Amino acid sequence: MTTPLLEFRGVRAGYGVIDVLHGVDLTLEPGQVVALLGPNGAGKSTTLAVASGQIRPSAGQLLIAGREVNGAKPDALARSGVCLVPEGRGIFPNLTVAENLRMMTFSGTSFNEVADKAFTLFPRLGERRKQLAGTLSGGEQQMLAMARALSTDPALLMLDELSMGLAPIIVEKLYEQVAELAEGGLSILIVEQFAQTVLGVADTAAIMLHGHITRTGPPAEIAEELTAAYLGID
Amino acid sequence: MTNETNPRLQEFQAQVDDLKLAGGKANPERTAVRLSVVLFVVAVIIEIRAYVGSTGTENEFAQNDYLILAVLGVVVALGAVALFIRASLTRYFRYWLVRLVYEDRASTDRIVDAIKES
Repeated sequence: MTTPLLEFRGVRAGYGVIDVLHGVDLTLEPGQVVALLGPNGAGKSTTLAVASGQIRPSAGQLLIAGREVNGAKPDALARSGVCLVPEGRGIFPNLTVAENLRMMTFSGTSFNEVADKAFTLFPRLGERRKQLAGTLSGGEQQMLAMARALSTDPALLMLDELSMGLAPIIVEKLYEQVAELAEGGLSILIVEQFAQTVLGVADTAAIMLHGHITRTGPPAEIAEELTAAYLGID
Repeated sequence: MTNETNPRLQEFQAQVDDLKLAGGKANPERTAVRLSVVLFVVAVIIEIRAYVGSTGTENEFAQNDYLILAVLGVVVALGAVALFIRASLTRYFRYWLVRLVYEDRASTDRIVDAIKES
């Protein structure tokens, strides 16, 4: 029996006096891709913020690789291999592509290694290495965000709203990349509001509503229930 | 894929095991504010006890003891106020910082959109 790479046990968390997660239970096994779906305001991004150490749970347990890590600092988790690509991409718009990649040498990896990996995965970034990141297209910015994340050799990758603001064809290409990463054994937790593409690459899907995981199951089953869940139909 | 067969996962497991944890308390400012309120109530109780005690005896030695108790109450009250201000300011500046980051991002997005449209 394997130890789950990421596990939420009855996690409650929020912002100041406002609780957003009201007892979340979620498990991500090694090498698995889990899609966390739900409408705006359900608590999906907060779940990722808790998993990456940015928000401490007020109750419950957050376990990573079998160890309870409530209270672990986000930089320590990032160094160990927990990597979050945040909503809005989290790149530095006023820096060039190369400078953005240089920021990822914090983990001790040389710039050449980071750049080689990024430009191999996303050749288009190599062509635009001297361009300001803020002037890239939405898809290229998302590629840069993913390249930055993957350059640190993460063990657990979390993607927040990968498809946000992107054309469907770009989203499809990005998810092809995600599928390749998953085939390579990387464990991935994907948060999405719009589900169709992500369900194609996920092993398991979960629906989140009002700070609870209301349903977990195979993507095909979840797809059928998704519309009803979003509209609040039983 | 199991944790035992994947070298990266084994390395990850070791790194997570070595993580130093800060204690896992959520929202430390809220805890500090609550503690400061409790301390202030304790201080008020100490002051009332000191007042009632000192007015209830004519023994000067006993009154001196109540005087010391009263000073202790003032110290506890001042400590509670300092803790309250510190925790409140930390919370306020944290939200302020988040707001600044948010506005800075929004501003950059607007500039980039304007450049693209021109």
